[in-house]
Amino acid sequence: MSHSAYYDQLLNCMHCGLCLPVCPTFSITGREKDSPRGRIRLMKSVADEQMDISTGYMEALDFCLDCQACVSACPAGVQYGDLLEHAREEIYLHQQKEGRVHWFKKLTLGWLFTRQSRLRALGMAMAIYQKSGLKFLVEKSGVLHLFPEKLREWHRLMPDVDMKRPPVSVASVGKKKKAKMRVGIVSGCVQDIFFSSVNRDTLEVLAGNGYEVYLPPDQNCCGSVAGHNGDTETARELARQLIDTFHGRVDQIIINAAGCGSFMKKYDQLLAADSAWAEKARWFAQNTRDIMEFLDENGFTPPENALDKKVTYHEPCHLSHAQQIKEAPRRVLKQLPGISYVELPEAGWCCGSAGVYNITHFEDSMILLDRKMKNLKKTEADIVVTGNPGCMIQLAYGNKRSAFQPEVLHPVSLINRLYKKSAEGNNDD
Amino acid sequence: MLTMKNAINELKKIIAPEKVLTSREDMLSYAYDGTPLLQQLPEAVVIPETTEQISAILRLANREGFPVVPRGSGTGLSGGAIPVRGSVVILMSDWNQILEIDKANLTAWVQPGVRTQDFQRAAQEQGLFYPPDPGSQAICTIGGNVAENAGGLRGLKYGVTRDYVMGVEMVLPDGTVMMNGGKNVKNVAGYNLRDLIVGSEGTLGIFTRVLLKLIPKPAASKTMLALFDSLEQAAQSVSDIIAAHIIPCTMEFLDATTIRCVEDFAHIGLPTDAGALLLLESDGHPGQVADESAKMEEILKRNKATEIKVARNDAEADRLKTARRAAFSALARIRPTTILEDATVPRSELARLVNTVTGLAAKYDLMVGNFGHAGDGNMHPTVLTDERDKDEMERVELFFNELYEETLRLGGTITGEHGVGLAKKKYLEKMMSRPEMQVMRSIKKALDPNNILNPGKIFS
Repeated sequence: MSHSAYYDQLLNCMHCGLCLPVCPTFSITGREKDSPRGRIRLMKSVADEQMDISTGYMEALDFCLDCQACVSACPAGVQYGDLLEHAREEIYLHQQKEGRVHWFKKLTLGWLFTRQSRLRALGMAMAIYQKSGLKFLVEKSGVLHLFPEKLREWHRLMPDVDMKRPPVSVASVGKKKKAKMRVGIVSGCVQDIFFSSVNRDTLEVLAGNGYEVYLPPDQNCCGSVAGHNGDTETARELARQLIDTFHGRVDQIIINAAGCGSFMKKYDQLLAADSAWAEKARWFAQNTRDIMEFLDENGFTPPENALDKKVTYHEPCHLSHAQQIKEAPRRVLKQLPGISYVELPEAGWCCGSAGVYNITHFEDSMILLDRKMKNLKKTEADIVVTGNPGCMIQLAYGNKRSAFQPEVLHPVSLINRLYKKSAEGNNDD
Repeated sequence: MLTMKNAINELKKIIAPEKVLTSREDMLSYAYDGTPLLQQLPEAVVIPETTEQISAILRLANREGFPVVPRGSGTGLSGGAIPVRGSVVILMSDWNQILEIDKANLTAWVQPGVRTQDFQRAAQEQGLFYPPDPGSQAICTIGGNVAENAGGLRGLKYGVTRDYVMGVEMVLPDGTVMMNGGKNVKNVAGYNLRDLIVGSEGTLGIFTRVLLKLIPKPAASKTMLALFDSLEQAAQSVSDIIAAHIIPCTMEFLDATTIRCVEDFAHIGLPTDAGALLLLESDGHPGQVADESAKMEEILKRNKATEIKVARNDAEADRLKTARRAAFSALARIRPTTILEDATVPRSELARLVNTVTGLAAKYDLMVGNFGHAGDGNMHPTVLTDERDKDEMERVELFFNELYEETLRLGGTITGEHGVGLAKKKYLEKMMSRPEMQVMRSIKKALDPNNILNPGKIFS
């Protein structure tokens, strides 16, 4: 986003206040600077040089979940997500100039997330810790009590690493002459480590529906982690890599993580000024589909067997608000035989995961999680489905805090469970 | 007199220091309300927790001579909550408790920071109804509604906020706490202070509790949408419905520009090539609703409505009304600056007002969206412009000057429901007679001799 486009977008906010009642952080503090309207005014004040990039300004923007519920609520169509991303980039550049980028940020954004092999090595270490019994020992020995409470909570937040990765040697599944379309799967960074079963389910559901599926093994992060934190240069480099992986090889690109999808659909904006990549980026953005969006658009073979369960749906913010995909996942779920679908109150209200928000702003994140768990309890659902790894980690942690504990699943995993059940001819789940 | 810095230290003795905000970030984010173009940084924003604290702040303000500006959610459209130079803002949005719903007397005590929609829902859960429904009802507060005498979509049949206020507890500008009114349906003891307090725009006192009237929830309702090729047909339908002695709950008007913007936001299937539309709601006894809406349909058809859609259920009716409430903000999609007005005329003059707006928009070469509460003659002509374009902004000024002259000539008023505040101050003297202005000034002077409470609002 150019600076003039940024400024025009800032002016589009006519400060009517209709974003305030949907903003989770405003609901926590009730202070204007913690609302979208307040933050936009602060961004404008910085742009107008009425204020420096102060610590208070950085904190106010850092407190934002980037859930973009305000984008859905804004009648004037202000693209708050774009504004926040630009403002965070300005902050990042400012910190870089001052040599004040936090070492943890440098390590994660500039090193860890730029190579999936590094993340996998970390994942492997975590898996060893979890599976070897060391985690169990640490928990039982009471040694955790020597650490601050926050660290103990983070320890509990950490989900189990899913080592059942789709076979990495498989670059192409379901290759046949009559394939409806050739689709590529983005395996993601977090999804690849913690929920590789979701990638496997995506692959199997697509292949089972007659698509030729391309899932290259060595993919890096899509760049959203860097992009959402202001490191746009790193994000651009990762975007180029991902575009290169799929361009010319597939008809459409499928993503099962909402946060990645919302970022990938804006690759055209990200690389607009890069003449060598702009055209390819536009192609990529136009042909990216969330897995639920794809199944809703193209239809899918309904599973033969029924699953007698009560299911509810938690909207990932980056699907519902950032991509404005609200009804597609519900339409897909309602087609599954046997399932009774129940609507979740405040389904579009952030669960508090928001990337690494549950680590950087633990207490506030827990206020939102507890609110989410309270609403989930009202549904009495057996299963809650949601299409984003961050939300899945958060809700799984919610189950550790709450007496009501629905199973947490990605919707594509629920579909595949029904397919498999059908294949087994087994009717008693 | 103390310096402002010392005054802030004094404030911190009255209320907890963390409830006294002074950071640059906080000041910038309380410098505005929902009014376009106007802003002013305050010196501090304070969040009182008790009536005594408010009283002490006002006494300090009188002693030290700093102005005080009350604020709720900051959604007002005339600048009532915009700080004045050197002022301290008193933020009331944390006072958000519904204290009592009295089903025997059909009344409710609420704190001023309760959000209008939250209160409506609470009343509804008891089978009761609180009709005032301003466009910003999801976030605006009862305190702000009382201060501005806010209206809404249902004003035609049910009236405005004033018609639902039975009592107010408030802190007067000198710090005195005063309780006025009560649960009596009839009460003629003394001057009717309530009507002075409602609509006082934060210049006569700060509310700490409000007693509201509730009515039984109507048993049935029917919402419909009528589309027209021209503005005149829509306006004529409104006149014909009123002339047929039908008072629907809601009769809202949207012109072509507004229809397109609303559809762009809400995606409710409005035809973007329609010339105008009316949103109508009839409510009450089921028999009455059926009869009234049949008659209205007949009138709409006679005026060549191209399509009449009836909402199939409450959810669909709510979607239509919510979309209508977003009209003002949705107009901001077209140009960066959106300046909305509140011209109101006797209902018989509505068609003339609508034509005046169209004519003046052409004369001054401006883009104007027009919508509003057609049933009560209250329109919101909205100029879509760009504050950076000086030449155009001059034409905007001329447009509004002439519009208000014409409104007054038609026997209308400069504001139907938004208040005077800062935005319409200069038009007030044109509308009011000299004795009226004098009485208002004497009242302000009697209650606020040091002019510390929201000074410079309504009149100087």
